Amino acid sequence: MADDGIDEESTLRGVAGLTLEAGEEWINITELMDRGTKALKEGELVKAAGFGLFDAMTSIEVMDPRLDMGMETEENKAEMAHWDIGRRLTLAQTLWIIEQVFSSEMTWHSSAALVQTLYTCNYITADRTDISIGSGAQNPERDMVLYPLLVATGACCQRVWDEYTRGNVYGDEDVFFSTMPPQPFDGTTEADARRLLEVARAHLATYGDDAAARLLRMVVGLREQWLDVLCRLGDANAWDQAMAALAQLSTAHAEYVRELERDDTAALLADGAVRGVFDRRCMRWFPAAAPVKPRELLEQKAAHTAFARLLDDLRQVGALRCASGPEHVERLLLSVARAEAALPYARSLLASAADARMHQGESTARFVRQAAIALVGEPLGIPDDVFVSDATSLLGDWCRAMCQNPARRRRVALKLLGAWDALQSEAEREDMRLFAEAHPREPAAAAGDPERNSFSLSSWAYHSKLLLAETALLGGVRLDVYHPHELPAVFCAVSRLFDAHSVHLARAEHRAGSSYARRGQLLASAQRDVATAVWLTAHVCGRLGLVRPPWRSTSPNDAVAAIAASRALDEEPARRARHMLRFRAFAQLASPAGLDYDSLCAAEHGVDAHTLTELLAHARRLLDDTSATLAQCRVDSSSEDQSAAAAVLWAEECEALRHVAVANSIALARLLRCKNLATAEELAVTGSEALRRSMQGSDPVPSTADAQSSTRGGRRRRRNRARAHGTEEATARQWNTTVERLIADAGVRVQWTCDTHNPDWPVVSFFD
Amino acid sequence: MPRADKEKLRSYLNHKMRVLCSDGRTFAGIFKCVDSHKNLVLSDTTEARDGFQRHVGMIMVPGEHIKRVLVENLEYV
Repeated sequence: MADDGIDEESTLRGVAGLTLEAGEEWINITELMDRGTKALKEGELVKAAGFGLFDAMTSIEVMDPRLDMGMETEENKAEMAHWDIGRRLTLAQTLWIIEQVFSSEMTWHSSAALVQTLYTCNYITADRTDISIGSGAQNPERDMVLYPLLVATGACCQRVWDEYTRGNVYGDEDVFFSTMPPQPFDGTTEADARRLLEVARAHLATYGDDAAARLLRMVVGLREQWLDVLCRLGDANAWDQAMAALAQLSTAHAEYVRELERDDTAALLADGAVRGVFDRRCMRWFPAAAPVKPRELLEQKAAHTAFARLLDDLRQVGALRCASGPEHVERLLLSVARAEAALPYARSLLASAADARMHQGESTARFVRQAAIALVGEPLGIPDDVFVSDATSLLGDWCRAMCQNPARRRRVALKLLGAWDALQSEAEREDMRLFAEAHPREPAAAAGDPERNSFSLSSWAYHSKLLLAETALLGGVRLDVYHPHELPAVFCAVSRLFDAHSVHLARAEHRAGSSYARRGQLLASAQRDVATAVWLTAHVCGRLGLVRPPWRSTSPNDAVAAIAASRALDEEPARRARHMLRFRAFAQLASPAGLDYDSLCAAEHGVDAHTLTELLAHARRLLDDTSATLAQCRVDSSSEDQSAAAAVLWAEECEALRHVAVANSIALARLLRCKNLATAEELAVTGSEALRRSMQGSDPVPSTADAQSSTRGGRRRRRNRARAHGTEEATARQWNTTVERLIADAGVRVQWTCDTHNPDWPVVSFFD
Repeated sequence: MPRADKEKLRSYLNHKMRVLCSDGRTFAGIFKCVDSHKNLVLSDTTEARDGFQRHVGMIMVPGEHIKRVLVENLEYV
């Protein structure tokens, strides 16, 4: 009750026209809001302190049906008015409903919530008290076809849900465990589902060659096979039979999809569309359990494509069970991680299969030893138990990381890098210990010599760590998590990864020359590693604004071939190509601290005279080196295609560099108001050299010893030296002042661009 | 008195507010912003309809769909 004694039931009207809701703790300010907002100018806001553009843009706009799932529209109400559980369905309508339910099921598999997918079907959520599923002459298509298929769908979903609860997938990322509504088909056993499917099959058989009946019979067969596969996959001892059933299911599904693509089938489905069956206003019924952002249901074609991909991913489970060793397990899981994201059900099973494979059969010590043998060669003994225990534990973490969703996989991979680093150090010590034990007469230093010691265990640990790093980078690139200012650092990491994979490829090529067929497999996987690194490099270059990598190809296979070709001639061309790539990345920064990729990440300061001329001078040096390499290529080239192809690559690079060097010199000449390029270049070279020397800290003051020398020649030499140094200092000061005055004081701005005629090289321009 | 109305509105910033929409839903949240078209931004909002509730976070309610606006009475005991 207000202090002024006014009765609660009456309204208060004050200066602002406020009304106190009777008996409520709320004040009705509707009229105040109307008046107050009318008084605001266009664009004027009444807002809280700290409320900004970000908050405004991230707020959800309600009452827009495209964005607001909870909105009730007249259209929704009209749609629901058509719902009638007693409607007598036709076969075509039954087929349409089942296809829609399948799309919902596959959307659920793609990490959506049950309430927003399967439970939108009114037949699933409706009260079925008066319905006799599996019998019923009054509505046979509903009771003897539709509901048996829905029951079997529920049984399938139950099996998938059981796998989700094993703990290999994550709530609110892969699956929404918080969906609390009761499952409509609780208590349905596999036997019940199969019995009902038999009823459906028998009923459909009475329709003979009717098109819809034929398709529905295929659907019944597919559902039965899918249930069979799921039940067998739920038992680790039955995975072999599951794989056999999976193969048959894939074939049957492919045949069904071909039927769906026929024009008459599309027409049949269009005729079978029935209104009111799906209540998309899922929030209305299960608002407390719905995720914040519902997903769009998959279209029919996308749903079947997702199912086909799920079956492919599940085949990897069988392959994992038969994996020959840890290296094979790693490769299988890596192929899953590198591909488009597998569905949570497949990933959960893969994690279980990898874990089972690692702990079956041979001892873990032998398992770890095999990993090293496959990659590098025979370790020199049995590693000790502590190392084996650490390695096995980390390998298990590695495998589980590969089976996560892309975002989590990236985070886990980053977290595990430190542990693998430590394992690599431990492995190195173990390799040296084993070497010393195997070669007791060798000096101690020999154990640390890579020419003598193969370092099998640490090579394996390093390689696994590399693959984790690649996983993290690939995940970051695909998820687009990197800010523009982080891309140069990403480029450094990708560049190192490329180098490491290239070394491994070279090693694999060497071993592939032996008679062991298995090492050929190692070569194939090493080539795939390089191809992935090339893809990453090209992608990051694209994000950095560098048009393409130095190898003029967009195909990873061609790029690998080009690198291999240049390596076949000499190691230098491949290194030069990578060096050029890094230079381009450096030029994107305002001022690289030094033309070395390790200092790239530390570059913070802006353009100044020193760095500007360093860049120009570096381009000139690269041009000279590239021309020399090209000349050498032409001398060494033979009639072999690979050599000729590499020479062509280098010729193109030289040409591009020459144009850029000239363009940059012209720009500099204009800046310095020189009448010819030679003067500008000379000034630039002289000035930058002088500046570099002065910054290297050469002592401008003659030493005390020199000053005290009594010889006449010494005094003359000191004078000459001081004069030369003074001249040099003056030159450096003049150059520094000239450029910096022009850039800073005169307001001239520096811009690096890649113009259309020289898309691969940055060209400097100065403008007011 | 337009200025007094504006100031009064400003005084209700960061107060709890309830908004009834044209489709029957009620949104209860913290009043953060309003513009000349009566488009309201509420933070930490709960949507309610037919006895069901869900948390929707920061929302913007278009002015044209607002039927009623209530603000908490801080003097209510």
